[in-house]
Parts: sequence; C-alpha cells; structure tokens
Amino acid sequence: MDNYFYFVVAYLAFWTLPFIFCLALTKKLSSCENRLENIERSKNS
Amino acid sequence: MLSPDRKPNYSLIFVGICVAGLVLLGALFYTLLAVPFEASQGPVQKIFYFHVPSAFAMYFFSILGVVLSILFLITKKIAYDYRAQAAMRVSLLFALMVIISGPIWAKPIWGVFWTWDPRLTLTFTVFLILVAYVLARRSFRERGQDFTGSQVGAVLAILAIPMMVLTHFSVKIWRGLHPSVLRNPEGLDPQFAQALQLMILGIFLLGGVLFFLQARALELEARIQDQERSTNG
Repeated sequence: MDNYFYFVVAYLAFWTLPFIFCLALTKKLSSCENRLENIERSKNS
Repeated sequence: MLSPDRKPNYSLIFVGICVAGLVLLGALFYTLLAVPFEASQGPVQKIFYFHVPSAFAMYFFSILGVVLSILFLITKKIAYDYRAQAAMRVSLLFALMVIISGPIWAKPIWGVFWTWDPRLTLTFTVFLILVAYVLARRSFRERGQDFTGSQVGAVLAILAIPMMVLTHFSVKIWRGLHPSVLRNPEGLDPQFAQALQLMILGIFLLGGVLFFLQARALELEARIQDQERSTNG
C-alpha cells in the first residue's frame, strides 16, 4: 500500500510541476506581448 | 535567425505544445497500463520512467545553456544570452523534478528519503548551481547591470559542466547506493526500454517548447525594460 502511495505522489508531482511552469510562462508571455504593444503604440501616437 | 525583433510563430509553438502533450499522455498510459510492474519494486519502480528522462533533460538543457553562453561570450550577441538563460531555467525545472522524484522513489526502496550518496550529492550540487544561476541573473537585472549579469551567468553555466560530468560518472567512480540500470549488462526489458524511450521523447519535446517560450519571455522582458528606460531617461 505504501508503495502505491509514493508512486501516486511522484506521478502527481511530475504532472503538475511542468503544467504550472507552462501555464505561468504562457501567462507571462501574453502579458509581456500586450505591454510591449501598448508601450510601442503610445510612443508612436 | 537571432534577430530579437522578430515575432515567433505562435501557432507553430501551439502545435509543439499539443504534440508534446499527446506524446506525454501516450507515454503515461503506456507506462501505467501496458508495462507490467517490476518484480522486486512493484508500482513505485514506475517513477523510473520520468525520473531518468528528467535527468537526461537536465543534462541536455544545461549543456545547451553552456554552449549558448560560450557563443554569447564570443559573439556578444544578446539573443544567445536569452536562449542560454532559457535553457538554464528549463534545466532547473527538470533538476527540480529529479530532486523531487528521487527521494519519493528512495523512501520505499532504501528506507530513507535522502542519503549523501555521491550521485545524489552531486545532483543536488548541480541543482544548487542552477538555482544560483537564476538568482544571480535576476539580481543583476534588477540592478540594471544586464551585461555584467550575462557574463557572470555565462561563467556560472560553464562551471556546471565539470559537475555534470562528475554526476554522470559518479556511479562508476564511487559505487554508491544509486543504481546504474542503463549500464546493467542484462539491459532493460524491451517493454521497459520502449516506455522509457517514449517518455524521453515526450520530455524532450516538452523541454523544447518550454525553452522557446522562456526565451521569448526573457527577450520581451528585456525589450520592455529598454523601452521604459528610454522613455524615463
């Protein structure tokens, strides 16, 4: 039973860590793209 | 190719994310449902299928980071630096996965979460070098000393190489507790090997996608900082 517990914990960690990293990265990327676009637009206007 | 102004093809990156996700899901189902339990360790041995590929990815992205850092030091092209940083960050993510999954596997097999075995100690040292790299880069960027940060980062990245080589060969040199399954003369069971190869492919695809996203994010952050500096200055 213990063996199953460690196996489940490890798989949960493996599937959540990169997922969180990927999600945070996409969010950061889209906010950076928008911010840069706004800066460039305000500079040109 | 390394022009920092060029917008990347996001639809291609999206396709990459989907392919990586599908391969990883396929590998997950294959390892969970098709591959039998290992006779002596039972279900916990299945941690092997992502612990080992994560370690490979950690090595690969660190070496990529070092190559890009050397290219940056030679050419002084900032685009190489963004990519070097991205590679080191992705390597840190995989190092974290190795550091987390290893002790979870060790507890039911060795009876302890951690022991100062040479392979474990050296992997932990590589992890600390990667953390130091990321923190040093952040600290220099916050002080506005980007170029110094790039050079310090490149040197730190290069320092990681001897540790990587030692980590890889530590099992052979010191013969600690950590096994060397892939060098076992009996080899891996073909089904175990197939599952491992599939997971390696999935993890490298995921790493590649994360690398491109991270490099783009770093590049955009630097451009925003430049624009803000030129507006304020």
